[in-house]
Order: sequence, then C-alpha cells, then structure tokens
Amino acid sequence: MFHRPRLIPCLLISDGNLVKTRKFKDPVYLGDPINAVKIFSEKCVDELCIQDIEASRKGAGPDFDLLSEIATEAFMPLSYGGGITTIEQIRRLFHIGFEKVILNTAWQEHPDLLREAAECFGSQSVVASIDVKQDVLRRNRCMTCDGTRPVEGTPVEMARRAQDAGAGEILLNSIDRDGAMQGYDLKLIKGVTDAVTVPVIACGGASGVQDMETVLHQAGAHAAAAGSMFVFYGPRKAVLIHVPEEKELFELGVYRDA
Amino acid sequence: MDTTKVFALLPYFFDSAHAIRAGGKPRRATCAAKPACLHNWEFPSRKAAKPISRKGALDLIGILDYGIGNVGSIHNMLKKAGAASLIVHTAEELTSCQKLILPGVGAFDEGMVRLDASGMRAALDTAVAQGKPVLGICLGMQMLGLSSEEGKSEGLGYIRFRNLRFQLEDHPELKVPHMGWDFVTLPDAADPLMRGVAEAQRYYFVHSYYAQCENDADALMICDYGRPFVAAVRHGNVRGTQFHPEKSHRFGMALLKNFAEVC
Repeated sequence: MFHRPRLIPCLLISDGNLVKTRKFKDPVYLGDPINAVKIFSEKCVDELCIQDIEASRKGAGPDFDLLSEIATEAFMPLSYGGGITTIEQIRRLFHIGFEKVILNTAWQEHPDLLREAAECFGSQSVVASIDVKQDVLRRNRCMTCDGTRPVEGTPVEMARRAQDAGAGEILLNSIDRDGAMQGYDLKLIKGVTDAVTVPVIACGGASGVQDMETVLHQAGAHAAAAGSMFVFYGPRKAVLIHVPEEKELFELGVYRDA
Repeated sequence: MDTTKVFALLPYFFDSAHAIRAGGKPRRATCAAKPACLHNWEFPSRKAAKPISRKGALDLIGILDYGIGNVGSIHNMLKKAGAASLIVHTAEELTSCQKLILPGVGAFDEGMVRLDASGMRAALDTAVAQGKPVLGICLGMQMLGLSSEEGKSEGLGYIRFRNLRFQLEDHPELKVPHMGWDFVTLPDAADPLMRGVAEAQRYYFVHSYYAQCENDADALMICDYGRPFVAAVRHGNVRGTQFHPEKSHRFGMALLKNFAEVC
C-alpha cells in the first residue's frame, strides 16, 4: 500500500456563515457551512477542521446548534476550535460527534485546560493551535485571540510546551500566509516539526497540490491543511468547493508508495 | 420517477465540482438556479434506507454510553445507514437492544473502570453469552480482549487477544499514535460484516496500541503500520474494529450497515 498523508480543509465560521479571510482579516462570505460540510463529506475528504473566528474575540462559547447540525452531516474526523474555555464545552463537543478540539487562546491563558482535556479524553483528541505572525523585524511571534494578541515565546518553545502539556497534535498556522495562496512557510514549519514528536498540521498559504507535496515531504509536516485552495477555483477565485483527485495526488507525489 | 427525484439526481451530472450556495440567511432557504445548489435537497440515496431485516423489523442497536465514547458520531452514522439505534446508559436499556456497540476513546484502564462503574458490565456479559451481536470500536475493541500494555486492568476477555504498544524504533518516520487513513486486507471475506466490502478499502485509525490475537482465525482484517497488525477481530458473535467506521465515510458506513442488517 501507499502512504496517505491527511489533507484537511479548514473552514472558518463567522456569525454562522462560512467565510474565508486573508491574514486573518477581511472575511469574505462564501456560503452556508452545513452545505459546504455536506459537499466535503460527499467528496470523502480525510478530515475537516471547523474554526469559529468570532467566538474568542466576542467571548462567546461554541455555537452548539450549528455544530451539531454540522456533525450530523460529516462522516469523517471533525475538529473544532473557537471560544472553548471549559472542559464541559469540550465534553459536549465530543458528545455531539466531534473528535478533536482545537485550543488556542484558551490554552495560552489556561494551560491547565489542555492538560485536563488530554487526561479526560486522551491526547489524540486535543490539538494545540499556534498562530504565528512576523513582526516588523521579521521575527516570528505567536498570537492568540484570532491573531490580535501577541504572547511570549517563539513558535518552537510554544510547540514544546503544548506537547509537554499533553497536546496530541499541533496546528501551526502562518497568519501572514493566510489566504495568500503563495505556499506554506516552510522554514517555520520545518523548525517546529524538528522540535516535537507529535504530528504537526501545517496551515496557511497553500495554493495547490504542489505546495502540499512540499510541506509534507520537505518540511516534515504530518498533515497539510488549507482553506482557500479548497473553496476558491480558477484565476478569478470563484467560490467553488473542489477537492484534488486521487490521481493528481499520486502524480504530484503527495501520495507515495510506503 | 417523479420530478423531484429527477432534479435531485442532477448534481451527479455536475459532479466534478460543486458550487456553494451564495444566498443569505436563512440557511436552508431555496437558492439561485445552479444545479449544484440542489445539495440543499435530500438526495434519494441520502434518505434513510428502508430497514431490511430477516424478521421484517430492524434490530435495535444499543450504543453503550459509559462516559468515554464518541456515541454521537456512531449514532449519526447509524441513522445515515438507515439503522435503528439507541444510546443506552443502564443495564435495562442495554437488555432491551438486540445488538450492541461498545465505543471507546482514551485509556484502557479508564475505559474498564468506567464500564464497571456504569453498571452495564454484567448485562453486557449476559448479552454476549446469549449470542447477541456485539461490535467494539477503537478502545471498545481493545477492551474485548484479555489485557493491554497500556494499563493494569483485565479486559472483558470475550476474544483471546492482547493489546501491545507499537514499537517502531526501526521506522523513525512513523509516529505513534498511528493516526490517519489506512488500508486493510481481509483474511476472512466470508464474514457477514464484510458483505460487499472490497479489498483495500480505507478507514480512519487513531491508536497507539494494537491487538495481537492468540488464534489467527480471530483476525478479520489486517493493516500494516511498520508491522502487520490486526485491524478487526471476530470470534463468534463478538466483533471489533480498531479503526472508526463511523468516521470513515461510505467505507465505514458499509460495515455498520452490514452489522445492522446481516450480522
């Protein structure tokens, strides 16, 4: 058989709508999240990552009504991030059919939440998200609260801390590359994948299958996530959900013989 | 075929790519004229299949909720597969079901302790002894065995296998847990659970321990991760899958449908 790395569409939700951002700003309205999830499920994607970009900033918890509707349409592994602050919310997410929670702001502000979640539900269900933005001196800084609040520590230190606290995966997101469709930040990703043993999901910047091949096989990412690549089509960026064909993934070397 | 069905089939002819509905709220409102928008509709194939059963009525499947399983996803998938299921919390509810699914996510000892504390353990033993079909999933499968290197608790012991931790020093490129989609081979394709299942189907795995059967005949599916391991077990009326059929698209749905209809 062949090795089949996970390719993960990342869907952003704002006020119950599906949106796509650039550099974590300027959300563009795309459509109905439930409909999109149905299409992705129909197309048998490996995994789906749902993030609510408003929840943390507004201090609101997860929108459970919307999320349970999503969960009934998704027959692949599902992760959710956004506005999670308590272990009860995590329990409820798993109960409605999510497998993984993504903690970012909550984990930085209350490291115990991550540890407690990993103990209760197992490491494999807790994803620590690290959003990275370059400052004016081109140093990588970690951000929380949807990229609005800087925190201390380099991405590598942060990733090690997350691993020690019990995170089963790390979602590494480059804010500067978000929506740019100009390739992943390979240096950043390689630095983190070399420093930790848990799987790293690379996110931010993918324009196509070729970028995924590079990040998976050169930068050592365990899985490749992307937003724009799955929802925009063609040079004019028409809103259209599309998923690469398996044949293409073989031809471009994303899937390789084990 | 009535008009609705004809329209609902249209998206299959536009299958290369799908547009997302570009309308506003409310979410389920009708939309502009693109055929792919019919994704808002119920496809004929998506409608819950009519129950098929030897006795006319579909067996009720009980999903054991003892606090650490992903009961929601299993319930959703069974519904999609057209099976009748009930999330059970007590021995009485469990006894009222004709088939049982034992889910489980997390650590082995935690799972056994919680199952004992739920008060359903004895009823589960009885159901297995009565010959009711039982399906363990992920940790639920591991618990069907004798023991695990992950903990000190004894397993349920319905099938003679032990759970060992992956030792992959020879394969530095492989991480533990084994997480992601993988392919299986079927040593015993004659089992009812395998009805219509082709070789080399992919399923979603997340685990750090794997089953090693004392008796090769108990291995129902084999997967390979640095070494061959048992991806599904079967002994009599008790079966288990290491992977998550409820999270494995139509490939997993086929198995759960078989469990509901012919096991």
